[in-house]
Formats: sequence, structure tokens, C-alpha cells
Amino acid sequence: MQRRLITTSASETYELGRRMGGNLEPGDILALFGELGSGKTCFTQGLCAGLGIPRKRVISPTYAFVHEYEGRLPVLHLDLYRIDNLEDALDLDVMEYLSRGEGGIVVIEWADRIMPLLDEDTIQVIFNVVTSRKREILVSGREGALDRLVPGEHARG
Amino acid sequence: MLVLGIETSCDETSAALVSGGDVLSNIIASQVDLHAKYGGVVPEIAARKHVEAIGYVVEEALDASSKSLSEVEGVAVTSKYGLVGPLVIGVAAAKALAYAFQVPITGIHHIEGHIFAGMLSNPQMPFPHLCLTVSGGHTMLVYVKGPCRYEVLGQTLDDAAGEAFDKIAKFLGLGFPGGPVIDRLARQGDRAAFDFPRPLKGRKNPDFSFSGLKTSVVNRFKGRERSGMPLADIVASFQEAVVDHLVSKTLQAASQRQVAHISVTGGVAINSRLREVFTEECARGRYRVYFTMPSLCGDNAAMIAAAGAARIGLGDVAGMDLNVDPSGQLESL
Repeated sequence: MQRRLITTSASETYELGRRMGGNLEPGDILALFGELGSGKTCFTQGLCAGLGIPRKRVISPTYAFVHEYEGRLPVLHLDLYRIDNLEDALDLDVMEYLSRGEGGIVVIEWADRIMPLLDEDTIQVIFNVVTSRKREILVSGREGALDRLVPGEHARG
Repeated sequence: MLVLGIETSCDETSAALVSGGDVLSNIIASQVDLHAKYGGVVPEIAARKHVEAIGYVVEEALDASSKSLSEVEGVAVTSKYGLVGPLVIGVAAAKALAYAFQVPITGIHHIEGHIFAGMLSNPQMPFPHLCLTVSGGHTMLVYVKGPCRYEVLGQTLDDAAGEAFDKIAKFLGLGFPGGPVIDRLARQGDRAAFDFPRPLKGRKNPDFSFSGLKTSVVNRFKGRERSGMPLADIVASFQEAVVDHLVSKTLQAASQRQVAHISVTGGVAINSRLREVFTEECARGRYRVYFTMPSLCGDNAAMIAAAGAARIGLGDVAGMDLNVDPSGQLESL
């Protein structure tokens, strides 16, 4: 299942994240895909805001690889930009982070690096740059998760 | 006091000996050929790589300073801010050494280390001063009231400045790390060729933002053939926007706080254009600017040892239950 959304500014991408964040449940894993500047970190800031985590706490983990936040649920914010392949990701103990997320939320930026580690319960969010401000955001996952996270948004087979 | 510093917060394994403000040794595993000497390995992000390197690095720090472990009077280790796995290795090693030799141990926030790198480089720098610490992993403006007394005035709201350099360099196909290559190439370019946005202009808070600037560069040149792009002009204009943002926000805070002394530290403090503009603008505004010496700009253990000497001197000693805090905040004493 996939749903297609359009945002026309960074603040709309943030707002979309915030709405979804309000409906996250323990164990949700979100894998984010998209090129540089497509809105992944901005969306994650919104997602965390929806969990009651101040925007200022949430910054890009590109260097640190992982940031941890405490909100309504704990959040592990991973960023695999500096990871080149699956082996390096395993060196970073990415499996442990995925399993530690059971009682909370895991958000993974640049998740393409670890595709083989993601299962069908993962919520995949793809950010496509349409114009300098406009983004097409494709959310896919199990129907129940989509109904919970993006209720009332356009459905697309 | 002879202090052994240990830093393993991210990709570097480092150990150093500092005594009374003098750096006796400062070993960073990726910069020395440990493999040739000890058969060790260059560390990476993996905790086990730090495990393999830490013993050799400590040994080399002692060797290079002609000191023995029995002479060490205190141990300082990065315990806050970084990756949990690597931090645990540094803290475990530090605790083992402190316990074995019965000397005090203290846990240091990684960013406090960078602040101390400025003081270690410029011992004459007075308090209070304003410290801009800027690297690949953080960008923070701290009002340093006294030794180990801080007020964080602003920080990045999204990407770190060094991260923006790296991502733009990679986007333009210039390689990694991006800081040095952009610094070099920018000297041949026109800084005014492209008018990239100055983030958060007009805002009173001295916070930083680099994500919009990065996106603006990417949007402008995406899909273009690399051979047809004016690379030197692009990086010169991009670097100018980053430097302008860092300098103007720092001076704005200096003016609000009425501090006369400004410390510039962290990996990005090596950038030659940043040093040039800070020097010019501070001369104009009658501020005194202090740069961290290049060897102490990147992640290193000497800065952790210096911070540790100050904290132990002020009585901030940890127990054997010292633990890591990957997302810990910078705290005052």
C-alpha cells in the first residue's frame, strides 16, 4: 500500500511529520529515502514535535550517526549518510538499534544503505523533489499503519 | 597535574597527556601509523575498532611524552555526547586505568573539550569570553563565564557547518572530507558569483541553520554536467555564505552580551576564509579573536585532558560508576 502526499514548503513537510508523529505507536520504524535537501530531517523534526520533543533538540545526526530523544515515546534518530554499505552499517550495530527501538520509535535517514535489513512492517517514506519548494512524499507500509499515520490522505493502490 | 585524556566519541581513537597547560603528547589513531608500530588498526565508527586501538593509542601517548602510567595523576574521558558504543570503550579504559593506579577520574562533555582546545591554544584568553565551536557534528555558541561555567546562547537548528561543507563537496564530486578541498578551491573562485541565502537573518537569537543553504546550492545545480559548472565560483560563494552566517551571528551575540573576547574552535575553525573574515570583522568591531591551533581543532584527547584537569582541580571527580550519556547536555560546574 502506498499513499501520495504533496507539500509545497518546508513548513508543510514539518507539519506533515507533526501530524504523523502524533499517531506513532511503540515499535514503529520509519525508513526515509530521498536526495540531499529533500526534507528528511525537516520531516523528522516534525515527527518528533508530534511526540512532544522540542524542535531544537532534533538536528541532523549525519556525523554522530545516532541521536536519541525522549518524548511521549523514546526516539532513535539514525542517519546513514556516511555509511557506504551494509557491512559498515552492521559495524555501527545498526541491528541493535533496530531491536532497541521496540519500546519506541526508530527513524532512519538514508535508509537505502540497509534495505536488506528492513522488513515489511517498516514504514517507508520517499521524498521526491518536484520544484525547489514542492515535494512529493510517498508513504508505504501495511494498510493499518497507513490508516493510523496518514488517515484521510489520498490512497493509491 | 599530569592528566591522561581519552577521547572515543565518534570515529577517532585518541589519547593525550597534558600537564599544567602543556600538551606533552596528543595521539590520534587515524593520524599515526599504528599499524606499522604495533600492528594495530585504524579505528572507525565500530566500537570493536576502538577496542582494538585504545591500548596502543594510550601506550603511544605515554611513549611520545616519555611518561609512565605510574606518573599519571588524573584521568579524563569523554563520557557525554557521541556514539554510545565508542563512548563505552573510552570510559571503560579510563576507569580501568584510574582504578589500577588509584587516581581521580572525571567525565567530560565532548563539546566542553572543544571549548578547552581554545583555552589550551590561547592561555592568555580571559573570562568571560564567547566561544564559537563548529565542527562536522555540532555548531554552538557558548558564553564562557569562567572555568567550566557555560551558557549556551545558540546552536544549529538542523545541520552542522562542517556537515554542510562535506555534503556540498560530495554533491559537486569534490570528495571527502569537504572542508579542506572547498577551502583550497574557493581561493580561485569569485565569492560574489552566486548570491546564496544567509540563514536566519534578522533573528535576534544567535542560532544557526545550514540546511536551507545546502538545499539552495543543490537545487540550483542539480542535474547539471559537472564539467560545465563553475566549481570554484560555486564553492567560493557557498563558503562565503557559511562564513558570513557564522561570523555575523557570533558578533551579534558578542554585541548583545558585551564580551570583548571571542574564541573560534572545532574542526571548521581550520578554514582559512573563516579566520580571515573573523580577523577583519573583529578588528573593525574592536573585538579580540582567538583561534584554536590547527592540531587541536579536530577531535583529540588533549582538549579532554585539559578540561579534565580543570574539572578535577575544581573537585568534580566521578566514581567507578561513571557512565556514558550519548545525548548529554553541556553542563556547568
